[in-house]
Amino acid sequence: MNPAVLDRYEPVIGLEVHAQLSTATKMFTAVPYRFGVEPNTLVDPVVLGLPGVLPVVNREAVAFAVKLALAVGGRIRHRSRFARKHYFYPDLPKGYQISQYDEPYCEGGAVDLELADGQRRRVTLTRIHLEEDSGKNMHADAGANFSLVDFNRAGVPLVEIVSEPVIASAAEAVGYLRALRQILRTLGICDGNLEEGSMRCDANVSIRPRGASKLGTRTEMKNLNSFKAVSDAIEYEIERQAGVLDAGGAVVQATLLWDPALGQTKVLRTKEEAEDYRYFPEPDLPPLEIPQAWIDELAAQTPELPLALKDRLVAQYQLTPYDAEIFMNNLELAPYFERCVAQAGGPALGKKLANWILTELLGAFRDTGKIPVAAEDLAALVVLVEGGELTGRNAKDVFARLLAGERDPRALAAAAGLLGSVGADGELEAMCRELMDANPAQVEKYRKGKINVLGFFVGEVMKRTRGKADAAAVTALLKELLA
Amino acid sequence: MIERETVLKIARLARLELSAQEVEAMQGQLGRILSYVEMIQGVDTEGVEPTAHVLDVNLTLRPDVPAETEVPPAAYLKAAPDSGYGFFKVPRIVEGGEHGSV
Repeated sequence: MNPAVLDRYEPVIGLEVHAQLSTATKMFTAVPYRFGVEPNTLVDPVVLGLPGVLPVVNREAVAFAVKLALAVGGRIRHRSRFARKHYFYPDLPKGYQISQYDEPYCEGGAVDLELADGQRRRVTLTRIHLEEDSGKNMHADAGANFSLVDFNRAGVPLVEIVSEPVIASAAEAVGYLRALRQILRTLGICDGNLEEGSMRCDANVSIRPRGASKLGTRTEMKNLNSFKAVSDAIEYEIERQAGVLDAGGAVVQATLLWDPALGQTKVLRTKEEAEDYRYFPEPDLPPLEIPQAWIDELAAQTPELPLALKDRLVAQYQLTPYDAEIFMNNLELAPYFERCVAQAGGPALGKKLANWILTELLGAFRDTGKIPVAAEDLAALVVLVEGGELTGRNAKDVFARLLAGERDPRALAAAAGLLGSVGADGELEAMCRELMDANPAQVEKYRKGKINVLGFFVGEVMKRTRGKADAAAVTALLKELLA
Repeated sequence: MIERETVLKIARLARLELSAQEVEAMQGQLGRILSYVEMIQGVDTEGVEPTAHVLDVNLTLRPDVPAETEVPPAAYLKAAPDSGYGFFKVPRIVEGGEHGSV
């Protein structure tokens, strides 16, 4: 995007995010949902909207939604209502969607986010409401006179999270989505997979001249199914609207569809054709009661949020923000790290333990999705190293055996004769001198300038000490003796 | 009587095709319903709790446990006017892209 556009215009962006709740069954019936299975196999009369059926609300979906409300600090309505939203589309079997309208279960709240440069922002929320997902239309070949509908997704519980129009750039919009996705994942209520559509985003974009207080006319963009699409579409739309205003025109309120392949939007409908959803209270469902006692019970289960975790790791263990962020992005590792710290006797070894986890263990964790070494074993290994009982080099060998499934680093090191370090009381010096006496030709070579002979001597010492000497100290000592 | 245009708009939203006589009949019928509502709106409801539901019942919540489906899913496809490839077949959708949830 041409940055000069932003000198003249201020973008105002609001996002609507739909997140599928990862419950075992659908919102209003006990049919399970999984992505990517045979079409129309996860259906029943409720899903298909057959005559005579009644919806029954999934308690877990409400619990998940309340957890989200608590995590973002929203006001939870003790008594909210479901409403019917009417439109006709083949993927909507009943001809209406059960949603919430004038009495959503949650209002207000905010999501904190961190931009790539470390700056923090707070995006305030208008509301969050519960609703059901639609099915999916498939478009057959260009020449075909029919389309295909799969209702597997129909009726999956959704939360729609509506932000205030307070987002000022594409980068902030993506930062907000990432932060929101981390919260959803931390809570374990949505897998946040944009490609599979378990998290979807629409963006409302308007621009106004810098300094103006009146908001410009907005357009709504749909079909933003990747972070890149969100960023590209918003930047495209800001630039397009600036072009319209610069040419003396007016932005037309419209719903646009983002085409990621062409990198442009096309008009889906304009204001004149705007949908009229004819909301009314859902007569099949009495109001949704969320008593305080239930909220308190769910609050007790709400885990620490990602950004708060990152801040705490930096403050409590002096981790770098970069390292803390890796823990934030690999949430199973954070409690593991803290168990290691507790086993190692406190925060003093925190930084060392984090280094071991992030350099030695992270790869295996990412490959298998499992933490391969028990916390007490990693803690014991680091204690051995920091206590001077095991050299860093030998510790890596022991660690490899832990990775392979063995236990108890102290016993492993002891059995391999690796415990204790060589180097005190001139022991090393004696060993070096002995080596030099036994290899006069090599000594001569070194002194004539073939300094890579040093490697031979260091290697010999390490072999004789079974790696128990500090390689750097040995190198320094040999240099001194050979000089 | 309500405006002819209003009737046509409501009919279009409900995907109903009305003949000229039907439009006229609806103007009268819908007009009478609206006057009835107007009459009700004239009642003083100060201090009266709005009725969210006609029955005084609490919403029953269901445990999140999958149930066996009683009817094999293929039976629904068979009952549809048209199907193929495991999908319900509908007349070609002309609007671009996937509607998704709104």
